[in-house]
Amino acid sequence: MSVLMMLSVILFVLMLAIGGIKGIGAFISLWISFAIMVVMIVLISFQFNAFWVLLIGGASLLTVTVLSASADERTTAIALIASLIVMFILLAVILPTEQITIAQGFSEENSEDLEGLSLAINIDFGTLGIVAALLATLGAIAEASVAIATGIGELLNSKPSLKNKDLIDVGQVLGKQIIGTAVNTVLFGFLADFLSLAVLFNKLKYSFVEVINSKLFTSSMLSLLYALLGVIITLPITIGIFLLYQKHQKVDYNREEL
Amino acid sequence: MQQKNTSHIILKFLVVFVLMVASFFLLRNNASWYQEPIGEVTSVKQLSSQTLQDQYGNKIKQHDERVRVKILNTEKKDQSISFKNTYDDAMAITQPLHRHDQVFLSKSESSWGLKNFKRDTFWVPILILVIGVLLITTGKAGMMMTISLFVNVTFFIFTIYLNLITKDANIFWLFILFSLIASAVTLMFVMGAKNRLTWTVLLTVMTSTTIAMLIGVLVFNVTNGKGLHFELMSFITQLPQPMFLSMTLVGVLGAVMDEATDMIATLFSVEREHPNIGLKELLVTGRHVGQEIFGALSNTLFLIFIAEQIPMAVLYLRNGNNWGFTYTMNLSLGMIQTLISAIGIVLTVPAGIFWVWILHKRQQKKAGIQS
Repeated sequence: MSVLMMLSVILFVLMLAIGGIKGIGAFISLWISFAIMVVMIVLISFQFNAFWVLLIGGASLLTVTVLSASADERTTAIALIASLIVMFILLAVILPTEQITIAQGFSEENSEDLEGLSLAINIDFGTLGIVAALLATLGAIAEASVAIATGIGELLNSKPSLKNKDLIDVGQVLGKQIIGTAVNTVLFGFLADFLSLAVLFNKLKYSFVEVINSKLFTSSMLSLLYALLGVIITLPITIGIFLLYQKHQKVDYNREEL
Repeated sequence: MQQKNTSHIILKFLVVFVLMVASFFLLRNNASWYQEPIGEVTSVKQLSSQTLQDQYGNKIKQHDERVRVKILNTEKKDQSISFKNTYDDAMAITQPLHRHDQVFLSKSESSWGLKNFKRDTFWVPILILVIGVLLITTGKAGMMMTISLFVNVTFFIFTIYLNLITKDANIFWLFILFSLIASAVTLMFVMGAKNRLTWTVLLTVMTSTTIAMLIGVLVFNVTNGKGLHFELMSFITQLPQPMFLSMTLVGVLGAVMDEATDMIATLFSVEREHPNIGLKELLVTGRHVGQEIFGALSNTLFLIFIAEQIPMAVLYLRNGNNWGFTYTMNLSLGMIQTLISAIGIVLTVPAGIFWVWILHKRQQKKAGIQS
């Protein structure tokens, strides 16, 4: 049995034992994400328009991650809308930044990996850089928006008379905690990605100036910053969508009364 | 009131924006701070273009351009030099230069060349933006988060430095130490040192990550590392297995802290409401909270680990490689890292319930003796 197979079996058993049916859902969602990622890579390499692949694939990845929490209908709807909006805002930040920082593609540090490969391919690496940077942020965004929507929803269930203003206040308090921990998920995830590169920079005795201007450091740094930004703006946007949803519900409710 | 609040927020965003612009202009004009020669492109002239074609059906244009650069620092300041820059439309490694680009220059014998772009000019303003938005949306809590981020990055850099001066003694042990200190410090920043929650979460994080790493190593040994290609890791200068384990450990740490904090905070609030709570109730509540999070967290790490491999995977496919080979070369290690992390994330649920239960028992005993 291969390492991958055996680890998958162990993960499946643990998720089933600890999460029951929902645990199986989590296990399946991981593999669906993997499948979406594979399809995206293949489509892009077949020269489908990378931006459409990114938008559709990104929205699918958000949906899978939000659904993997198997929350109630309201939470799922709010989290999904909020995380889609955050995705578009981030795209608006990433597009110009990636254009001007010219940190796409590879660098001389990659030369060992690139041996024997033809770099002159029909696909622009600037676009690939944008795809990679945006996708890396999506999981964290979906996770944070589900957590915030769940938290506010539970509060509202226990105190249905909560006024909008109070809802914003408690939502803020609760959201700060969620963001505080989500920020760490993102930070350590990216530090892990950066670890081997950091060791290499150190071995090659790069100066501070060389490190902070190098292509690979800049692209890692920017990816981390995009993901942090995504997680942070998820809080106000999820609260905003929640309020809109409430308002909508009340209108519907009133109509039914009439 | 509402109005005042809104104008307050707009003012704060304005401050952030001004700081971003200021940092940008500072970094555009600080060439004298660097010892490496920096130049600004004053003119670019297209020389020629030719078509590149390979046997995999890739067909793109390659361009030559003559670039004039004015040196901005060192004793060669204000001198004008010129060199030829070659780039292709894929821009994997090469780039076109534009007027006003600032670049680091390299000098060999008598000719100058492009060494690197000056990129700090662009990412520092984004860093300011992110910290600014964090402080505006979360206030004082955001301050603590920012400090904790910087402290963790400093620890990380120090650990990398220790690895160098200990001559790669064993990077994994160094990162185990890093993980211990970093998680203790992070949790203290988020929840305070005197909080019972902090220490319970820390115990949980240690337990679940240790077991997950042990499972990982055990599986590597039992399967004889079948399908495990450490030699494919990028940027490797030393033994790859300890490096891979270090990356996995650091990567899962934040996610496990995230989950453990959420779950144990909920368990404690349940415990406060029902002081005589039994193991069974703890299990039900803990599982309930855990189930909601572990799928999303596994997906989060999966995307962080895999997304950065996309350009390389596309490059492999465009070079006529089949999917299986491309997967093995670029994605297999990320998947294994994801699976070990996911195991750690799932194990956090029983580990957390276990520690809450043990501490609860101990407290009950203490209370029993006192009464």
